[in-house]
This record gives sequence, C-alpha cells and structure tokens, in this order.
Amino acid sequence: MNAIPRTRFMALAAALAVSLAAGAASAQTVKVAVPTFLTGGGAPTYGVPAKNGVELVVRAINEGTLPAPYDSVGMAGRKVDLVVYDESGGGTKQVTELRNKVQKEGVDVVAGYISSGSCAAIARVAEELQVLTLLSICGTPRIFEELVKEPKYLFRIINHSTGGNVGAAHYVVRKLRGNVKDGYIGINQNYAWGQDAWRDFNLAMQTLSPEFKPARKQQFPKLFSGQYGTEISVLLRAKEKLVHSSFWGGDLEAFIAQGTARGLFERKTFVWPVGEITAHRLGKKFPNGQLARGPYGLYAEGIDTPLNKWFRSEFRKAYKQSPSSPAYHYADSILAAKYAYDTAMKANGGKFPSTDQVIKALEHATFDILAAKVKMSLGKGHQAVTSDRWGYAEWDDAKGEIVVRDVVEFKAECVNPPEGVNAAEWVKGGMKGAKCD
Amino acid sequence: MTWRRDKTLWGLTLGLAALLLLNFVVPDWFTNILTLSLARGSVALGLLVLWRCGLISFGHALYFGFGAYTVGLMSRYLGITDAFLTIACGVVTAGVLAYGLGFLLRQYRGIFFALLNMAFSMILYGVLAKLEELGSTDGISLEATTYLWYAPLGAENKTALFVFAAILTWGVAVLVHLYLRSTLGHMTTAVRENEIRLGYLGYSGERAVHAKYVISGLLGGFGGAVAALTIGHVDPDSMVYWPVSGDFVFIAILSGTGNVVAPFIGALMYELIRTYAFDQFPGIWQLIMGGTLLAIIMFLPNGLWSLVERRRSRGGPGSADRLQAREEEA
Amino acid sequence: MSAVLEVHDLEKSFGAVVAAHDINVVVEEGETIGVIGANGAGKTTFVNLVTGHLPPGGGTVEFMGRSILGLSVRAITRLGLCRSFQVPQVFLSETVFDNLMMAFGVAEEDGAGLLTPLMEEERAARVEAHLARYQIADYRDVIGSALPQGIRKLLDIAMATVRKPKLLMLDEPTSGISAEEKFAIMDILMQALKEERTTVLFIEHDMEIVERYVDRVLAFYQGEIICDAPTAQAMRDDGVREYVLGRGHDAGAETRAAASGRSSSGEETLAVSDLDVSIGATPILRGVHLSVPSGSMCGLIGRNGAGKTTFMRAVMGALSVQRGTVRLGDVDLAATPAHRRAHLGIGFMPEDRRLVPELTAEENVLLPVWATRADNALERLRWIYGLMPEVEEFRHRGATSLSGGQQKFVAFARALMCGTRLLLLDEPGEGIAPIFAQRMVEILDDLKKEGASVLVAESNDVHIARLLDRTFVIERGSIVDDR
Repeated sequence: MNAIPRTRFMALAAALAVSLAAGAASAQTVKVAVPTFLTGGGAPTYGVPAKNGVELVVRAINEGTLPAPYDSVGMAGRKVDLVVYDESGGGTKQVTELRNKVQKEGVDVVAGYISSGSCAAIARVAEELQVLTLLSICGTPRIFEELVKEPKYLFRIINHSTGGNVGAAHYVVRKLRGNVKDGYIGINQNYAWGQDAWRDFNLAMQTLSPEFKPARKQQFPKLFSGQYGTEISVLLRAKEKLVHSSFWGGDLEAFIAQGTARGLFERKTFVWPVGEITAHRLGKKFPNGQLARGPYGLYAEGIDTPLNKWFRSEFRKAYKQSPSSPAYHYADSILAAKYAYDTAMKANGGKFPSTDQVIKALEHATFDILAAKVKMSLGKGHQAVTSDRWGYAEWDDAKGEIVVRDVVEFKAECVNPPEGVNAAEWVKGGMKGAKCD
Repeated sequence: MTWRRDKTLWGLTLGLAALLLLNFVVPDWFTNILTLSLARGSVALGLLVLWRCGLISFGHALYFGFGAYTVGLMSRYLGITDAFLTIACGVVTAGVLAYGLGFLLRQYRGIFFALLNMAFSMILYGVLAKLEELGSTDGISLEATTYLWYAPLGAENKTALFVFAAILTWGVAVLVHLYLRSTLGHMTTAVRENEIRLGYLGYSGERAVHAKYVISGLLGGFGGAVAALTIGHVDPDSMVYWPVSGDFVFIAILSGTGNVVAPFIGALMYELIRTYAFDQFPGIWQLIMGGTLLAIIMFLPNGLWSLVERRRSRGGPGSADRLQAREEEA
Repeated sequence: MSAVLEVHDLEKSFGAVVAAHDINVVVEEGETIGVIGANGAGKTTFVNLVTGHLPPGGGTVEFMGRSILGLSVRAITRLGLCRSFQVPQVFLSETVFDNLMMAFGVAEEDGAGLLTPLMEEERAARVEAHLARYQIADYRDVIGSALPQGIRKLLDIAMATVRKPKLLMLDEPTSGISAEEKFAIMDILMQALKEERTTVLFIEHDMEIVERYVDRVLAFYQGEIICDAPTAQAMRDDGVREYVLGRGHDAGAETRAAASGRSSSGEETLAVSDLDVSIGATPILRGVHLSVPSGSMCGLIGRNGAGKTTFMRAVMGALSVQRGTVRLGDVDLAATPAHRRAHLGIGFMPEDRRLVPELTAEENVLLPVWATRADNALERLRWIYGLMPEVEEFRHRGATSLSGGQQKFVAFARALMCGTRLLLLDEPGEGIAPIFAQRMVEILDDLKKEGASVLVAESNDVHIARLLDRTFVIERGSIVDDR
C-alpha cells in the first residue's frame, strides 16, 4: 500500500508534465477545433450527426473532392487539422476549453457550438482570444445584439432563432388559415429559448394577421420536466386548433409520446420550429404536422445544387442514414471557413492569408453553403441570413422515411430584420422593412 | 504554536510567492487554470471545514453559484465591475444565505444534510434557469473586471485577476487555517462523534454546525465570485447544476482533509486531469475522471495530502503511527 | 448551607408511561447524594430532565436560586450543573489529552473567544493538572476507543468536572467496571471531587458503593421518589427493601461462586467455559462458565447491562468470542457460522422481538424453516399452535398490526420453530403487560413438561424461579452465583 500509489502518482504527474510541454501546432495546416456534444443527452441527437457532417466535409476538403466552388484541396491550400471536442459541462468548461484550444494547442478556427449557453459564455472570450469563431447552431439573437456589439472574430453562419419563428407565422398565415381561425396557443419550455420563440411567433402573427388571436394563457412547463399530463389536458380542452411549440430533444420526444397516447395530434395542428431533428429520430412515430427550419436536414431534400446532392449521397454512403440539420449546420460552418480562407488567399495574391485577411473576406460576404446561399448581412457583416423553408412533414411508407410536402420558401429578407435593428424590437415594431413576395 | 513555527503558514506564503513567480513563466491558458483552481479550491476548502465534522454537502454549488451570480448581476444591472466590491458582495450574500439556511440545515446530519443542500442548490438552479431577468439558461456575461482605478484590458486583465485572486485566496486560506486552530475549529470529532457530550461540555452541536456551515458558505461564495470574474460569464448549468456540486466533492476527496493547502492542490490536479482527459479522450473523459476518483479512494483514501503527511511522519514522532502502536498495545 | 438545586412537583410521561411523578428534591451545598432504584424507575430520566436534555411535563427546577426550566443543555451546563454518563461519552477517536483540551476549550471560551487558538500553553498546563488529579496521566496519548473501561469512565467524569461544577450528576459511575476496580476508581474520583468541593448526586446500583460514599439516598420506584433519607436509614426502609433491593437482599454478602467447579449430572446440551467477549474495546463478559443440561430449564439472571444479552448474542454467533469455548453437544459453536445455528436446532428469541414487519405472524414463525427447509415443519407448527393457541388466532395478521405482547409471542413461536435442541429466550417477560407475562410463564411451564432444553435470561427470577432447574446469576460480565 505504501510504495505503489506514490509510484503511480509520480507516473501520472510525469505524464501530465510531458503533455504540458506538447501541443504546439504544426505550421503547415489550418487547425480547426470543433466543439460539439460528444457525451450526455445532446450527443445522439445533435452532437454525433454534427461530428459526422464535419468529418465528411473535412475529409473531402483535404482530398479535394468537394463539388465546385469548393473543389480545391484544403483551406487556402493547407490541409485541415481537425480537433473535435466535447461541448458538455456548461459555459464555464467551454470557456476554459476554448482557452486551452487556442492558447495551448494553437487552433486557427473554432467552428461549432450547439447550446445557446455555450455561445453566450464564449462570445466575449473568443474576441479576447482573437480567434476566428464560427457559431454553428446556437440560436439566440443576443450574441451580436447584446454580448458582442462590435464583433471582429465572431461569426454565425445560420439565421438566428427569430427567423425560424417569423417564418412559422408566415407559413401559418399563408397555408393554415383554416386551422388558425379559432386562434392559436403555445406550449414552450420555461427558459430563454422557449420564451423568445413564443414571443417572436406571437408578435409575428399579430403583425401579419391581427384577426387571429392567441389563447389567453400559454403553457410554459419547466425545462427537462419530461411529464406533460396537465399541459396536454389543457391543450385538449382548448378551443384553439393551432399549437406553437419550440420543444426540442428529450422533452419533445416525451411530449410526443405522451400526446400521441391521448390523441392530441389528431385534434391539433402543431408548429415545431425546431422539430426537424426529432422527426429524424422518431421517423414513423413523429406526428404529421409542420416543421421548421429549412433549408437543411429533411427540408433540403429535393434542393438540386451539386453541393447538396453530393452531401446527401455521401452522408448516406458513410453513415447509412440521411443527414439531419446539425450535420448540415456544422458542415456549413466548415464551408464558410473554406470560403473565407480561399477568398482571402486570392485577395492576398495567392499567398496564405493572415487571420485579419480571412475575417475581411468573410465579412458581408455572400457564398454557397450546402443547400442555400448565405449572406453575412447582419451584425456588421458577422451574422448570416438565409432563406427559410416550411412545409408539412409526412411519413412516406414507400420511401420508408419522412417527406415534406407543400413547401414554401421565404426569402432571407422576409424573415430576418434589416441590419442594425434589434430582432425583438423588429418583431415588436411590426417587422418593418421585411421584403416578402 | 507560534506564527514562526507554523509550517502551514510558511507553506501558504511560499505557495503564494511561487504562484506569483509562476505567472511569469507559464502560458496564459495555464494561468487561467491556476485561477480557476484557486476558486474551486476555496469551495473545496469550505467542504473540508464541514467534512472534518463528518458532514458532506452535495449542494455547495448553491453558494458557488450565489457568489458568481452576485458578481454577474452587479455587472449587468449596476454596472459595478470592481473586483474588490463584487467579490466582497459575493462573499457576503453567500454568507447571509448560509446563515439563513443554517437554521434548518443544522438540525440534519449525514445523508439528509448532504441531500438537503442539493435540494436547495436545485431550487436556485430552477429559479435561475427560468427567469429571463437572471439570464435564464444562457446566463449573464460580465463586463471586463476593474481594480479600483486600474482597468486593464485583454490578457493583462487576466494576469491582474490571477495576482489579485492569488493574494485574496492566500488571505482566505490563512484565515481558515487560524480558524482550524481555534476552539471552534477543533470542534470536529466532537460534532462527528458525540454531540450529546459536546452539549454537556457547554456548547451545542447545532450551533457548531451552523457556524461551520456559514464559514463554508462564505468560502463557496468567494470561490464563485472569483470563478465568475475568471470565466467572464455566469450560467446555471456550469455554476449551479448538481454535477458542479459533485465536482467540489470530487476535489475534496482528491485533496483529503489534512490541511488547508490540500484543496488547492486537489483543485489544480482536478483541472489538469480533466484538461488532459478532455484532450486525449474526448468521448470518454468522464470515464477517466471516474477512474481517477476510484483510484484515489482505493489507493489514497485520505487524498493527495496523505502523500505529504506520510513523508512528514516518517521517522518523526508522528501522532498517527504512535497512536496506532499504543492502540495495539492496549 | 444553602440549596444548590430545588426541584418541585416535577412531572414527565412518555405516552402512557409515567417516567417522573411528583418529584421533590432539595440538594444542599456540599452533599453527596445517591440515587437508587430498579431499572426503569426513572433515575436517568430525572437527570435528563434537570439537565435540560428532556423537556419536563411540569413542575419547577431551580439551580442556585434561578429557574432553569426550559433552558438548553448548553445553557444549564454553562451555569455549572454538569453530568457524566452511564455509558462513557468520550470522543473515541481523540486522545485523552485532546478530549480534555476540548472540554477546557469549550468551558473557557464563548462567542468570539471560540475563534481564538485552542492549544494554549496555559490551558495545556491546566489539562495536565486535571489528568494528574484523576490519575489518568499515564493514558494521556491513548485514544478514547483504546482505553480500558474504568479509565474511560474516569475520563468521562473528568470531562464533566472541567467547569468546576456547582453540582455534578454522575450516572452510574461504577457500571461496567469490574468488581476489583470499583473501589479504587471511586476513591480516586471522590478524592478529586472533594478537592474541588463539588456537590455530587450520583445514580448507583451497587449498594456497597452507596453505603460507602453517600450521605443521603433518594430511592426511585416507577417514576416516584419513595424514600429520601440518610443512607443507613434508607437501607432499612421497607419500601426500599421491597422495591429496590429485592427480597432477601443482603448487602455485601454476595459471594463469588466457583461456577466452574460444579458440573451437572447427565449430558450437557450447551456448555460454555471461560468465555470472554468484548464489544469494541470494552470487555463485557469475563470468564463465563455456564452449562445447560439436556432437558433442563436454566435461568441467566442479572440486572440490565450485566451481560445477559451479550452472552446470548455470543452463543448465537452475533458477537465474536475472544477466549473460551462454546459447545452444543459436540459441535464447536465458536467455529460455526452464525446462520448455521437454526440448522443445528437452536432457537433464539431476542429481547427486542425483531419480527419482519412485511410478513404475517405465521410467516414470521415459519421464517427459520424457509432457510433450513426442515421437512417436519407443518407438524412442528401444529405443535406450537397447540402450545400457544393465541398465536394461531392472529396468525394471518401483519406483524406490525400486533401489540407488543403479541409480537413477543410470535418471536417465541419462531424460536420454537427451529429450537428443537436448545431454546435461548432473552427476557421473555420484559416490556409486556403483567397478564401476558403471566401467560408466558404458563407456556414456559408447558414447555418444561415437554422436556425442552431452555436458557431463559431475565433481570429477576421472581416469576420463574419455581420453573428453573438451575440459576446462573451474572454480574458485571461474570457468573457470581450458580445454584
């Protein structure tokens, strides 16, 4: 008992000391760190598809097998050195990890983040560390509106969450007038995302069609509560036929299981702004309804760009399933990085660009992602806008998967505020300046 | 024992000097880990105070989070970013909360004490996650820390914070060390083994537990406040959620209760092990942490500090060995 | 002389049990008072009430002319009313020195003073002086759990006297101390207390101690004081002789019988010789010799704490044997795992019944044969029901719905179920109503006629004396009489 533990302890200490000294990045690669959920509840739904999407695209970039315009090898000619790491454990850990990745391992680009909490926690640190950071999923508009008002290093490659809920309202008003004539009701988790989602949807509805009234009282069950007996009873009794719900992950799956058992989905039409991932997982068990947010995952089916066709077929080949939206989002962030590096090199006369040059190339840029075109038009050129696709999800027995019908695509300028306008203020003020068809 | 002969005081002071010198040679990310270790070590020190009396809390993230959120809310609503003021307020609010809850908790021991703490921490978690005014699940980002009239930026700010936190933590550790030498600080076995006897000596076990609980709450608040300034962000998932409390218990087990220095060594080891497990085994790093904990419990049941203790007692008239010999005689 | 303690009309009951009734006591300064009475008479309750450990149901308690009713233990102790304990309450993992250091620290500091260093040189000197006064300095660095019982007892009392109390209450200062040591320890103690001019009130079972050290006696019976008189007078009091000393008590005349010298005729079912058993570091049984001849009913008689239950538990294998032999016929029980006892045909009825609450009465009775899988179980059960028809009546009721007496019968029946060779009954008559106790004696009588080998432990043999073939009297862990 005496000698053994000390020897082990010393060995451990020595191992730590050795690895403390290691970790300097090789100069001839672009080192990309990708945080995503590798452990915990977020891993199977979000983290793993995201990791798969990234690895697929990075492999293709290093081999030069992507379709045009991304068919050159590497980023600005250099191979990508990919480091995927775990996003679980909350904001504190993410801040520490980001410091480690940048200061210890010398990564050049960070591309990822799923949870809004992670994004909010690291936003200012990324600026302080001066590392090019491309946010992939986390939806809160507060990143550029409150936390980092003068962004330099921080970008986001997809719409912020306001777009999805405004798009939902547009779709309801255009396609579901019959369902909404008795008004609409909301059931959302009681935390930042759920509260914001309902607020955006409700205000957009009031702006577009004030004749449709919200229910007097909305349901805000606790986050991760998992039990929705009372809420389902309230919904069943409510006269409103249309239900807005920004549920996601395990909560959404539990809600669907409990609601299906009580016939909820035969009597109500649901709008799920982030239901796509769950639809992917549940397949046949997912109740027919509307889902958001395209153009990714299920909603990218049938978009005939060479990039999208390549991605869908290669993803299926590699992972034996179709790519869900996290796979798209993460892959899109990598494409954005490649676009920025390649463009910056061109501007730099064919020489490898500095980080400042890469950033300059990405600000206010317009470029292709897998299934859409992205404009970096908000947040001083750091927040992307894309179009938003909506439609009915239905199980297709013949194909053995969910298909989307009655798709309507809304232009980016229709569902997003103009530059310089706070998203919440924009929706509250009647969505002035929106350009819809 | 006089001040001059107190090895722990010397150790603490040398440790402080070493930390301040280290600041010049280690990379920035390591400074960050050191500052966080000071913060977490302080909370574990609070657990040590309770642990010596046989009490363990599975909810000290409550005080950690309370200190951290006090700092966060002061920054968000009052625009106060001064390190002295925010840390002081973080410590005081956590202490007041511990004093209040202490009236209830002092009546419980064992698993009830541990879980009741956890319950309170989860109530705080629920409130923070729910209320948008408190940042909800996204949390609150802090403005850059200032030090009276000194307002450094970027990396200089982090260095300043490290120096500041190191000096404050030194002071806190010295105070706790002095406390452990006091009559109240020695009231450990008495509370753990025999509160009835303690009562008939003229002090009540409940009062003793209450006092110790407040001390541990103050330490929790201090750790939380320093952590908030180090991270620059507070959020319920990484400040208040129950696994955070678990981390503190982990550090306490790793450290052992032998000395006030132990929790800081334990916290640093914890951060390093976690960092490297995270790097080398991204998918199974929790498994590495669990394995480490298991190994510590099996091979070093009294924590890392027992390595120091063992070295010290070898040859000398160490009390443990001598007592064991006496016990065998008797 | 002035009154240190004045207690008037003190009352306390636990449910229907009256633990203190109409207690009136005046303790004058400088007195040494002895409190005597049978187990459960209310002696310790009296100390607990006065010291604030239990809230009284009524009455007044004045200490040094000031009402202390409703004050906490801490507050009363700080006023100078201290106590020691029947079972020594020391900090087991700390040394004698540290135990006393803590006692001095708490006695000398309060409020912010508690945050000043404990280990002061002057305080250490006072601790050393105290160690010397109680003659425990040799044990200075021994931890509490390693102390001999007598020293631990002294330490317990030394800790209680650190404050120099105005009144010290000692709960059985000599219990657990061997007969050889008791006077030596009491001499040390009384000498030290005299030096500090402490008024003392102590509870004591041992009449030799009472007669030797006490000025005045308070005798308790069923929660009341039945005698308050100078010692010699109290010893002659009829009530005291009847209810405290027991019939035929002759103080000082107890002789140690050479228990080992006597062998019984015929074959022995249980043979125990030279048995030592300790609990933790405390020796409980010392060189016990006892045998139960086949087909005989034997009694193990001794007051609470004398070692009866420890003996039973040692035979049953629940406590390990330090020294000596325990044999059932030719089986060495000390080397047999505890769970084999039922297979060997030993039935045990624990004092506290220990039924399985989730099971019915009958299931509890059948419990041992579920384990032993004895084939004649139903036959045996029918025989038991014949012996105890009342158990058959409530056999389908859940164990928790039974009264204490009924549970006792179930525990008895359970012991009979597997006790084909030997029955060990730990206080079958304890804690049940007189009517049940009466019935219990009848059952024992029937059992005796059936020729069972039985060992019955009881605190007195008043009711069962006529049934017993042989009686072992146990005191302080040794058999002192064998008749």
